[in-house]
Amino acid sequence: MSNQETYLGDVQDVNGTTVSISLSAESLTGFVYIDGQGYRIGQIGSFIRIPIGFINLFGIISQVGASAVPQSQIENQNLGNRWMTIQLIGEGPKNGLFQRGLSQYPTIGDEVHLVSEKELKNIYGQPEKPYFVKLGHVSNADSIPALVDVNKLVTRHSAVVGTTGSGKSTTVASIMNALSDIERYPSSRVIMLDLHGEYGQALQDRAYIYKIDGDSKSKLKEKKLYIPFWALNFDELCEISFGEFKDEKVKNIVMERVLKFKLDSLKISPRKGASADTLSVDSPIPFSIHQLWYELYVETFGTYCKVKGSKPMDNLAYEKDANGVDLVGDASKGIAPVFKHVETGAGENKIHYLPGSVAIGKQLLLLGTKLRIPRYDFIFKPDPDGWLPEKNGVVKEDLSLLLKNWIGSDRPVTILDLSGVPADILQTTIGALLRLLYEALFWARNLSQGGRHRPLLIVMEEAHIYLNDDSKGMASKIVQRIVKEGRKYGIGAMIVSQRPSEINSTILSQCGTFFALRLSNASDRGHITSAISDNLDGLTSMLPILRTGEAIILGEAVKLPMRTTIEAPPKNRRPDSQDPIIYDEVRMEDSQNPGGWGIDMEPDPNYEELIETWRSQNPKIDKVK
Amino acid sequence: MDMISVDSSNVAAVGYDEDSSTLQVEFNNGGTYQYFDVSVHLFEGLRDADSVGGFLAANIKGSYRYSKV
Repeated sequence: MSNQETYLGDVQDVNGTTVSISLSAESLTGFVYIDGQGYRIGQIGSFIRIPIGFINLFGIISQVGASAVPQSQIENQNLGNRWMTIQLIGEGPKNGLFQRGLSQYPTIGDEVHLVSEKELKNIYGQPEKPYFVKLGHVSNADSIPALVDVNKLVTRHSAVVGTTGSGKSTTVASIMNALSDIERYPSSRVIMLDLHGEYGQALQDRAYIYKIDGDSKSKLKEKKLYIPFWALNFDELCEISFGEFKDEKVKNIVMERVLKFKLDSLKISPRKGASADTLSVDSPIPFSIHQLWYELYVETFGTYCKVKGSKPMDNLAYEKDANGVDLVGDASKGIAPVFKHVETGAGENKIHYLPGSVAIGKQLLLLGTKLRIPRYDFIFKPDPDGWLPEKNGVVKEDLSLLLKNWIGSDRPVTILDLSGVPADILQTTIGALLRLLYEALFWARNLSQGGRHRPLLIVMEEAHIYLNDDSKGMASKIVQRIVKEGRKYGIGAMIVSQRPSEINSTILSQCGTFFALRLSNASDRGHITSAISDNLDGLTSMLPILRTGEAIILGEAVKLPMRTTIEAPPKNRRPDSQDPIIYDEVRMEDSQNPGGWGIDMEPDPNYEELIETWRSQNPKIDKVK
Repeated sequence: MDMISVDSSNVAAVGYDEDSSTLQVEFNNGGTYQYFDVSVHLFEGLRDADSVGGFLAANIKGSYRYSKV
């Protein structure tokens, strides 16, 4: 046996799944040929095989050289002896399929062999099975495709982590490209939270793009993103509209009022599934928040003239404008009424505050501002022809259309471009959006369009922004629920981040599959190492030296960890996340960039337009047609 | 805006809007930019140039302000 060319050495020490082997003198050349192909011996991360009777044990080399000598042997070893440390990962019958886990251990003296490409192919599985998608090939073995099991990838959640510029977006685009292959998966269902608008270009023919300032005439044919405020639950609504309530009593008053509005709306337009008995303040029933705000505003700030025999509400004391018209304001535009000041002097027209007003002046002023600012329109004025309720809560379109647009369209992917969401409500918006999807698919679990029968993959880009530890944010809460329970209801999460150490550790530890790209920061690496279930320190120590576009895929969706060269999607399907060009590498005549430090500046730089974009909170100036 | 395909190593198509004197340039990588206040002569020069990339670099890049669209 030991005259086989694959022979490496013998097992000398077994400690749990860690095995030390000493290399044989024959393999000292460090380079062997098997079937005409050259193999370098003792490459960290490469595989070895230990035949025991009818089965083979497989392991990964994690350490090579002097420090791999077992503690007890240090005294007896001469310098220059060759040792390796191996992490055992699984076993398989000879010529059979590889499986994770071990049924027996090697013992001292067992032979250790190199794994040839032919055997590797057997380990990594067959590409014909339609539930495997190919993302690239195994590094160092170009002929072996890197296959990922879609079943496990979606339901057991996954994380894509890597430093900026390590090829993260390209990896995600590559995965999306594979999953949205209509011939293979005619009804795949993916929703992407795209914080920087990177993926529209990459997936334009496979995705519908929803954006806050979406322009249907633009190249990507973006549609407008709306998140109707009345679909939010009460906590989310408060956080987005009123801000914080210091006083529990005040909060309850607002809650009662919202409930009353929803009840009235339900009476006018009954909705299947909702009844007056089961209605709660969290039920997604349309009501007019403008009207609610207006009424509360009048009750809080209103003044009245005392007239005997009639109610204060009938004698509100409005200020008048120059034409003598009462300044009653306009609820639908968020314009507040103007009231006369209180007068308690000895004059005839005494003016008083309305009795029994509650102290929510601050919250109402805040909400009033938001009802007027255009950048909140996607929540508070969700499409006048669609989800914007009239005064009495009547809407033209129900939530069913919204969800159908998002997860029931004729294209497999929906990109929600959140690049225009105000930073102060980003967390809550994402939280609300995810909860909407979760609740809908959770309750519809028996239906053909529900989560169990048509599972949904939610891709969360730049997750460290809204899933961090210290926030009590809604996004973090709902994602924790998705990663813990989503599996049962067909909702899978894919967390994408360059800063895994800032992501809530519960969320990260629930991810079954990791696509770890280059990670140079030690704390990020530590976080990943502790989150993965495999005993594979050797592999994660490779993270800082991975090439761009190279990933270690490990976890449930792959048979065994593999160092993979991700195949970039075709040029026109790459994400638009390139760094700004400082100085183009090609000559100016050939450059496809109009700017950079290498090109003269225009003679009269226009900073009015620069301010215009800031004021309008829209990167597109008016002049652009 | 109507775009006219051109044969060039870096530019895919050019277009012009006379009302607003806006020149639109689409590069081969898909990046599309609008240059503002460009005269129609310059657009015609660009469209008919032997080397569109060279004409763009010599007369328009660095001389006119632009916006990505």
